[in-house]
Amino acid sequence: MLEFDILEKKCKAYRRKKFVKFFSLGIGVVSLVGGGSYFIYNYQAMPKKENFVPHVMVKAVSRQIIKPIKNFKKIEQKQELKPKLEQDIPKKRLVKKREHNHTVISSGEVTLVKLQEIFAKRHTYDIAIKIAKKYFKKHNYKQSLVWAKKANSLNKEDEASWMLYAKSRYALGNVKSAKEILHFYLNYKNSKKAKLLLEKWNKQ
Amino acid sequence: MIPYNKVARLFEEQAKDIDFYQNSEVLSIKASLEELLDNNRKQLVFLVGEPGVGKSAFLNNFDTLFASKYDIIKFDMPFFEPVDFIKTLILKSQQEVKEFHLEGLIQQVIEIYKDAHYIVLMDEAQLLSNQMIEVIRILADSKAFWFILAMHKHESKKILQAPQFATRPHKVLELGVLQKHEYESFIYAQLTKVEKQYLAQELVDKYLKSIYTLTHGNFRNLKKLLFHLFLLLHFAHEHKKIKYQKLSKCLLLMSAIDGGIIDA
Repeated sequence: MLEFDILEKKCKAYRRKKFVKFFSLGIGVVSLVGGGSYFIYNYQAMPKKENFVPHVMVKAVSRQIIKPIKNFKKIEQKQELKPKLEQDIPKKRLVKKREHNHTVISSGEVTLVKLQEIFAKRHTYDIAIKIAKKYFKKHNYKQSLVWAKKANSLNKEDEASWMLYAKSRYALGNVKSAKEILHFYLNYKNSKKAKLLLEKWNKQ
Repeated sequence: MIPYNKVARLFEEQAKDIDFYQNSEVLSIKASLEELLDNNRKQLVFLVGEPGVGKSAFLNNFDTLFASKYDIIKFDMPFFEPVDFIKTLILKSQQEVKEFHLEGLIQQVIEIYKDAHYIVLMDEAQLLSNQMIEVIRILADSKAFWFILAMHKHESKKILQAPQFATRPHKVLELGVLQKHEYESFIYAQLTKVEKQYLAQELVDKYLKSIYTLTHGNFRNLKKLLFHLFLLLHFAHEHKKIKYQKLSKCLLLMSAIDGGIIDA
C-alpha cells in the first residue's frame, strides 16, 4: 500500500485534473456552440454576395455620391474663411462644420477613382452601378455602358443597370439596340420606368 | 468486531474464501459450452474476454461448474515446447512415454485418448508458440480431445487468424463484463460472510455508481478496489484519521489509485 498521505495528495491532484478537464471541455463546448450560432446568425443576416457592400463603405461612398458637389468654388472660399469663423462659433457647431468639410474635400474625379479602386477590391453591384451613373452624368456614355454592363452581370434583378445600359446605348446613337434591350427587359420584368422610357423613345 | 484488514482479505486476488461468482455471463457461457460439448464433434473452443473478467476463474472452477460431468486436463500456462506438452498428456494418463521423437509422441497420445472424452483447458493461450499451435491443430484434427483455450480478447485475433485455426471448425465464446446489479449481489454475498451487511448497504446505496465507473465491470478490478478500500479503512482507524474512517468517494478514489486501477 502506498503511504496514506501520498495517496491523499494523489487523490486531490486527480480530482483537480478531472475538474480542469471537464471545465475546459465545458468551455470548449460553450464557445463552439456560441461561435457556431454567432456565425449562423451573421451568415443569415449577411446580404447576398452580389449586393453585399460593407456598411461603412456604403456610407462613405453614398455620402460622396448622393450629395454631388455643387458650387465648388464657393465652398473653397468658405473654407478659407473657416479659421476666422471658428473663433466665434461655439464648439458644438464647430463639430458639425468639420463633418461638412469632410464631404467638401472629396471632388468628383477623386470619387470616381476611389470608387473604381473599391470595385477592384470588391466586385459589387452597388459600386458598379454608382460608377456607371457617375460616368453617365459626365456624358461619358462608353464608360457608363461598360459599367452598367458590369453591374448587370453582378445583379440582373435591379432595373437601374438595365435602364442605364439602354440609356447609354441610346446616347451613343444605337437607338435600335437600346430599344431591344428595353424590350428584352420588359419580357423579363414588368417595369413601369422601362415602359415609359420606351414610349418616350418611340414617340421621338 | 471483525477488523477491516480481515474484511479486505475477502477480496484479495486468489483468495481461498472467495466463492466463484456465477454472474449472468458465466451462466451463459456455461450453457453454450454444455450444448457444444454434448452435441458436437470434438473441436477447438476459444474463450475470449478482457483481462480480469474471469476467464481463469471459469477454467479453475470448470469441474465444479459442470459438476464433474467431464474429464478435464488443465494447464494454467501454455507449454513452449510441444514435446513437453505431449509428454505431460501421456503421463496424465498414467502411461509411460514410449517414443522419443515428436511424431511418435503425437501418435502415442492420440492412441491413448482417442476413445476418451477429455477436455484440455489451457489458460493464457495468447502465449502459445507457433509450434504449439501446430501441435494443438494436429491433436484437434485427430478428434482425440476437446480444447478450450482461454485468451485475452485484444490478443485473440492474431491466434484466431492463424491458418491452423482459421480454416478449422472452432467456436469462439466471449465472456463479458459484470453488470451493475451483479456488483451489488457480489458485494452483499461477500460482506454478509463477515456480518458487515451495513457496509454492503452503504456501498450499494451511495457508491455503486462510482465503483462501477472506476472498474468498468471488470471483476478483478472490483475485487482489487474493495481490497484496497478496506485496507485503507483499517489504516484510517488504526492511525486515527477521522476523515477517512467512513466510506467516501475520496476513499474510493484513493483505493483505485492504490490498486493501480486509475493513473494519478
